[in-house]
Amino acid sequence: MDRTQQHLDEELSACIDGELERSRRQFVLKRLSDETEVAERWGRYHLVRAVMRKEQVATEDLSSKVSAALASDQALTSLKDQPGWLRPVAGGLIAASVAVVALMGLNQNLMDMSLDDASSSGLGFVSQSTPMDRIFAQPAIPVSYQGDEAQDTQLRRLLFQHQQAARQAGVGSYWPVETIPSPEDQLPPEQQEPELLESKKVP
Amino acid sequence: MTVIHLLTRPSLIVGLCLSLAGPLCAEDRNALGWLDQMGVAVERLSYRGTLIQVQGQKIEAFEVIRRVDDTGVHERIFALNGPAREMVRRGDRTEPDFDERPTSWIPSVIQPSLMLHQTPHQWSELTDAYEIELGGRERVAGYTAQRVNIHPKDAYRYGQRLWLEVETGMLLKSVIVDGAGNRLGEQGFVTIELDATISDQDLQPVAPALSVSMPHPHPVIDRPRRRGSRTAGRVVRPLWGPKELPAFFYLINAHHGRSDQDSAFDHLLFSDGLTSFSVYIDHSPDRVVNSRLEAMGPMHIFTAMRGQRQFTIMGQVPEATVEFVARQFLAPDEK
Repeated sequence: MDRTQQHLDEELSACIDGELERSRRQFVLKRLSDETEVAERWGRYHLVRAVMRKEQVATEDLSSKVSAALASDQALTSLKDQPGWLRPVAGGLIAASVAVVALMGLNQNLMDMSLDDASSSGLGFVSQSTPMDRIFAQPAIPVSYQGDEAQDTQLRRLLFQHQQAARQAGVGSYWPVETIPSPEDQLPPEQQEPELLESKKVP
Repeated sequence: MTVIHLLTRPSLIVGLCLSLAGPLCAEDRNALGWLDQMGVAVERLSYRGTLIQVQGQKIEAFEVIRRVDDTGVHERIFALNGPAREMVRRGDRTEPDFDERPTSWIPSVIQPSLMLHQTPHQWSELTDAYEIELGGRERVAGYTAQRVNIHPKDAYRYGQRLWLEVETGMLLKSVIVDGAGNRLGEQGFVTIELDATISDQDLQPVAPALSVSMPHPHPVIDRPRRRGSRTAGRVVRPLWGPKELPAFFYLINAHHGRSDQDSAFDHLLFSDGLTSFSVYIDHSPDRVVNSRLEAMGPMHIFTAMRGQRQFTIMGQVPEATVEFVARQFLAPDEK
């Protein structure tokens, strides 16, 4: 790689990262619009960066996008009508603007994808999750009575007190006995047997 | 025959209930009328039967023998499957004490007074939180039963389906369902003899009973029975409590005392008139517990520490209700 090519690569990389000064950026954009090889190299740099950042990559080739934009832009047609002294300047500005539009379109795609990822994950940018969020984000675990004995006893006592107080207040169970399911009983409804006490319609 | 004796005659009680509820017969009773009659029947009827409880894949079966007379409620319950277990009630005493012999079942609490369950007026207030409608008639345990469907109006409570014997209103079967209609638990009699004659011999325990009395219910020191409003209700906090509650839940019992470890604790009981949940606040627990959310069939239990205090929220309510309440807790200096 010669020094000129190496310098161009450095400028392309700096331009992608937004670290190139304005005058040099215009120069790079002009080459980007004029030279297919530069456009392809630009595209590859974007691809490498996207892969490194685990971003979703746009499938459309940038050089073809730029060429299509240039071909269809009515400004190019009207350029032929401009005075000869103005054509080089105007042509450079138009090419640069088309390239910027293409670049903005590419970055907008990436930004949209990032937003979609953020929204689909349920996470917002405003607040961080709290410990309570994390607790209730998980499904409730089945009560286990095989763990800490003191804790189990305490839980049973609280359960009894709760049912006792509810019955005393007139809002408890109407059944004479209540059972405490064991962990293996905690199956989701779709895995449960159909109604075991199925009633028969009275004819 | 004393008035008490008269009041303990099942047929008279059921008749009294019907007369209080209005000149209703089985055909023109509305859903609330059925619930009124059920509330009386489950407390006052003598019966013997086989009760089945289904939770997930597990089935428990109990033989229940119950006699109500002028001396109180006498009941013998023994498990028909699994380890031999038995419980006998004699008036206000139950043997054995479940605390001394850990089991997987909890006896219901003996009612200290007549007709402690929902009064007709209270039932009518359920319609704020539930839609109650009559279903069809079905056959349960050999009896014709009237089905009553109780649908929750929001996600903070479960629905229930009840099957009531058409003559007495006795609860024969119930199913608890979530908002999507998934069956969370079910129990009911597969055989039952209503208004049965129960002898003393029938109530004798098979196994030697332990002479241990049930823990006494703690006294009710504050019972502001505030009914739910159309909006989320604010409650009178005795000392600690949630800032707001899910709609139609209200504080029905508050107790401040000391735990077995001699630490100060609060027990708050909330209800929407049908279901309930408790909040326990241990102000100086003997150890720190990890925050966790547990499920036990339709019952949810949330435990967490806030500072030096331990909070436990439990009840037969959806996870959303427990989460709502858990998020409402504020320390006094954060009011």
